[in-house]
Amino acid sequence: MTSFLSAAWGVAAKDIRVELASRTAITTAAAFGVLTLVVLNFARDPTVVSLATIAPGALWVTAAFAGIVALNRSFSMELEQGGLDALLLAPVGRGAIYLGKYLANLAFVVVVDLIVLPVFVLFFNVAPTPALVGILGLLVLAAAGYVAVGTVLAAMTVRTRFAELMLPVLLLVFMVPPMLVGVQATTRLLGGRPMGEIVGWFWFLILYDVVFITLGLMLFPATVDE
Amino acid sequence: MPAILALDAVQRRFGSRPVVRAVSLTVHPGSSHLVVGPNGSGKSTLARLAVGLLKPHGGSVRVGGLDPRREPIARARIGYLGHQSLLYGDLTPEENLVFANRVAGRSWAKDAIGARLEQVGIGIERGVPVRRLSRGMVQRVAIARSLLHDPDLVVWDEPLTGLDQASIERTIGLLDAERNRGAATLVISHDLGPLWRPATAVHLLNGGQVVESLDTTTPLEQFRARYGSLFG
Amino acid sequence: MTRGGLWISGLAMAGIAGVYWLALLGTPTERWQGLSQKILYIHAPAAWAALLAFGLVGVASAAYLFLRDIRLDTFAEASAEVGLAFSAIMLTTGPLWGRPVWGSWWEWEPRLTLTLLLVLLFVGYRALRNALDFPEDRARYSAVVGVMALVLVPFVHLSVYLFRTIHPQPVLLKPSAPSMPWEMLRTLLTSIGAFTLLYIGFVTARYGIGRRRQQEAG
Repeated sequence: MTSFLSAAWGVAAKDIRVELASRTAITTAAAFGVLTLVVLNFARDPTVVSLATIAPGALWVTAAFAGIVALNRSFSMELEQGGLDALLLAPVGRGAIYLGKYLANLAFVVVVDLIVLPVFVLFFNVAPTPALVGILGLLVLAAAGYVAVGTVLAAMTVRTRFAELMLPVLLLVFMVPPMLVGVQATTRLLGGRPMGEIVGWFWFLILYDVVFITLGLMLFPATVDE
Repeated sequence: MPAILALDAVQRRFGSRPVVRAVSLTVHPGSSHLVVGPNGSGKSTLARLAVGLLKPHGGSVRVGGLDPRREPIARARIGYLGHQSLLYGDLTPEENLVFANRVAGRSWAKDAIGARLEQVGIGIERGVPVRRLSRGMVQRVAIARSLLHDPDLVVWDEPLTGLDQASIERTIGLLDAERNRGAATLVISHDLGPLWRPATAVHLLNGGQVVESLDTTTPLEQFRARYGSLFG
Repeated sequence: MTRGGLWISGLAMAGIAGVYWLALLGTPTERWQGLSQKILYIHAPAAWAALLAFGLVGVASAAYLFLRDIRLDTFAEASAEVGLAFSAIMLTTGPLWGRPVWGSWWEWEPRLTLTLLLVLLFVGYRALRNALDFPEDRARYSAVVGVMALVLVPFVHLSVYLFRTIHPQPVLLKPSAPSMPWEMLRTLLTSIGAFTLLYIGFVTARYGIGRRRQQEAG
């Protein structure tokens, strides 16, 4: 068990170190997120549609798209010089590779969310109440779920011709349930409702996470074994 | 002594086209096998089958009696060098080797890593991202990576690509050292020459099949005379 | 296989023609919705067949990952395509029915939403298959997506249900079964039977085509 976890940590640490060295994914994804917020801000008639109305949707759409950008590079780095071969030759199970990739991807997406959230507060005139902590929690829980799916999908789509297009086309459908729930809960929190009211939504996200992380662990070997 | 690598009637197709047809090969510890053949003869596919990166469509592959695709301990005994360097361009040679160790459950001191890199002639470059190194240097780091854990079976696919004469000699030296250490080596090459002398057995692969196997008491010139036309 | 499938499909379509006759002439008209309610006899069975098709893709995908029999992948490919066809029927008859009844072309009603998402997913599934050249890779990757799609279905359903309880939506498209008079139920069940037969026919034919393509590719 410890070798499983330490191998997973090794893979995750390597991904993080590569990202820190090249700094491509997070900056691109964060820039994309901020731009999306800008566009969404302008994509309305301000006299008719208030910021408060579109705020929850804007946040979650932005987080979803930025998350996809961050996920895209997850396996492209492995394809470059046969990194995936190296991982497959290592004396560790495929599950450890999946877990390592998943943790690194989740870390990237959370960092992007942490950049997007304050910008969101700024652009959409959101009051800085403790509700924001709840919203961050929702974003992280939702990410925990769709990154599990995205890691499996990225391992496959990276080998196809239109990888950058294929991943969002497949992943967005899987993002709908967590996003739907996330937006509803965010609306409530921004509206000043107490946290207790949205506990059910949290449990939905946790269930989604548990199911798809487990499924990812089971299905990942089929995506990398030739 | 039991074989460290046993290929038994191994087959592999790409789509409907057979690339490796029923190849059988046994490698014992302390021996050096050389597989030569023209381009497209299935050599690289054979190497990838031997280390478990590809699943055989027929026959079996056993490393130390175990299936490398299923048993991590079998994989732990293999050191592989492929056409790709298996390195991460944004990391330095040192970081790459540290990662290779870490993911296999080993942790070494920086000095030990440095010593391994010195062996292949990488000195101050060990702190430079691999992306900025020359082809020859990248190849040398990849060689160091493949030998890092003192494997029992060394499988090298075109190890001399991009190396200058000094590096070629150093690499041949490493091959000899591995054999003296008791490891077995399986080297794939489309180019005869420097790799002939260290080998204890040579196999000619053509069209996915072993056309001939001989030991290297046969002089290279005789082999070339007979099969030179295959290599163009 | 293809020919057998085409025969079954032909039979089923004759059955559906019979359903048309039955629905228009042999079944009473519903009081509140009027004539447009009769789309139900096409819409609901098409929905059933679509969900059956996609569900079986999931099951076949899981089976493929265990058994690695390429025929399971051929079946999944066939069922996915047939599912898309039936979904097209369901998603066009839905708005046609919805417009007179709700006053709007579309509502985020659980079944419509689920079908729409599955259509989008399986269009992606087909795109993935087209982007892969080697049959084994294609079968493995498709199976992974198929299994994940199957597991996703309850989550979509649950999340849309939660969404709907907050935002009350127009009445469900289908009048609740217990209060449906016998003549309507009879027509509905006949139609479901005919559509199921059509599913079997289409999938059999498409499977036959898929097998033939495989054999030709060598």
